[in-house]
Amino acid sequence: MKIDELVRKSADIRLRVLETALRAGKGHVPPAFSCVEIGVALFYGGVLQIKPSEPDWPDRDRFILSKGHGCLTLYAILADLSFFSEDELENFCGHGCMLAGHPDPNIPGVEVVSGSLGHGLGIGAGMALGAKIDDKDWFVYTLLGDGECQEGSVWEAAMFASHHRLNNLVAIVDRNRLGATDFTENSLSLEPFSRRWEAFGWETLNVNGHNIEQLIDVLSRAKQRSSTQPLVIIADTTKGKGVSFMEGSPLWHHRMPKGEEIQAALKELNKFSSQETN
Amino acid sequence: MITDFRDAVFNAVEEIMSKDKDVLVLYNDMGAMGLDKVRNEFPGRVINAGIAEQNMASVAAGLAMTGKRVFIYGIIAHIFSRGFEQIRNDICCPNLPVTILGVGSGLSYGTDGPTHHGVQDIAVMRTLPNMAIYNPADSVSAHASVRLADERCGPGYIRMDKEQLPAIYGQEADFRTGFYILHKGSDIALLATGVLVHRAIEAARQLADEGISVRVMDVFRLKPIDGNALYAAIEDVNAVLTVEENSPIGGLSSIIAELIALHDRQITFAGIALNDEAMMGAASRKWAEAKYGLSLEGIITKLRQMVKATHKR
Repeated sequence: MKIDELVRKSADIRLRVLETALRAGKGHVPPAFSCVEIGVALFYGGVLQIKPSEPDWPDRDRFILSKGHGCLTLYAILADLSFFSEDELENFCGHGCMLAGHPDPNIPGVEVVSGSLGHGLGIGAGMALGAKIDDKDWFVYTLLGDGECQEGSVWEAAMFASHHRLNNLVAIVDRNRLGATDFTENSLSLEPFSRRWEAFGWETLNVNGHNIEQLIDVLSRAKQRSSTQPLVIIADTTKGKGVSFMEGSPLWHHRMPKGEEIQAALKELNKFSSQETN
Repeated sequence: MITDFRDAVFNAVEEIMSKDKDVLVLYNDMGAMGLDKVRNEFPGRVINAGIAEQNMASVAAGLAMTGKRVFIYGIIAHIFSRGFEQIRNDICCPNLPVTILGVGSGLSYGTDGPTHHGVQDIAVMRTLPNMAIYNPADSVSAHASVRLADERCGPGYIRMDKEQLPAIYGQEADFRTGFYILHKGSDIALLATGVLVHRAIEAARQLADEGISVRVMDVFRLKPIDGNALYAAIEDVNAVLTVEENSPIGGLSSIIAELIALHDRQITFAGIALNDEAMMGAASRKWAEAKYGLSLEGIITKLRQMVKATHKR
């Protein structure tokens, strides 16, 4: 897909995320919005080698959504790619339905249970080690939240991955600078964030997390590297991206738009979307 | 005859690894002679994951997702609690073949202080879906536990004691039912688990001389319990006593009380265990036995009382 098509795809995904959450009356919309371009670059930009018709294809690249609360973006993408029916989105968080507020591997295309933070990178390190042992070429891409990096287990995994030279492991950090109620730098500061990853033995790249061209460029480089280090891509993002009153606001983590906010949000998202929605 | 639990367990691990290249061991920088042997034989497949139990459990899950079967080894007190969420979410939710080998059941490390006591893990691990828990009393059942856990191909947890104890079982013993009747008797059933099985047998022998007939059972698989078979093995007696070197909450006494409560029959029931308290200082086994009634004398006294009370009823 061309870049302008991917930009429109991102807008469509955002719209689908909001519609899905509004229908269910719940969901983490702003943290899903901050990682839309990352998801689009991975799934539509030729980065992940996957087969929607065969979700368990043994040689697929593994994608782990470690920030499980961002799952509305993943669900919208997986449904769009026909990993499962679009109808499932309509049942998001419905009684006994497949798609819950955090993902699990009973969902086609989802590798791991996530929702509790600080697990995905360790699981990804285990998968990457398994691939090395078996001499497999597939890669593991793990998307973490920046607030998630306050979890100690992330740094245990970071040490493990560099110690074992897991250069087939890629971490992408959605650096939207917000946790659930406050800025990360107010609660438990992460800076100097890049230098911390470097000190843990990771090759560290910084990218604009809403620029699809840049994202595809750095994500595609992962498999071409000769370095033995694991790779972390720190993607600077805006929480709530796409809806001005949500953007970068500590108030918007899992809050749902109400009343006039709904029309205002839909109007902003519709501007860039290829779809007609009310 | 091997008497060390760790040697028996790692011998079994070695046997499995020699037949299947997809089996790995991770450990949290914790040593064992048996582990050294396995590491020397399969250097690339035995990995020191460092003192990072949370990550070790997650890595084991990730490896299992690539088709490996993984054993993770460490001290019970640390491995079950520090990495509990990883065991729950990453290993048990997706039902992955990861077997936790924990050393230091009960007060194995009693004199090392409360941080090292393995006395709450049974209660906590029992709540995990898909988990199987083995608490062997000797090297033969310890060896068999590894095989059974591996064949199950799901999450497993094997508790190892640090004592060197004589073998109870012969090599032909079949452990698939999860419990064994080790001493026949009809006045009372004495259900034990782990190291206390040895003392339970001795108590039954001594009471036989007094004409009290004690049925001793080793409940070595604490989850899943074959409730029908286990209840059938105790339903003809009027009294049941459990003994365990464990918190009184959620362990063997809870398991058996829950089982009995499901049936409409009055059985006199009691459990001897540790107290629900943090044991500060050097909680040696000898000290704890005397304090909590887990000594041979304590168990015999309790059995006598219960049999007497049951006969009166």
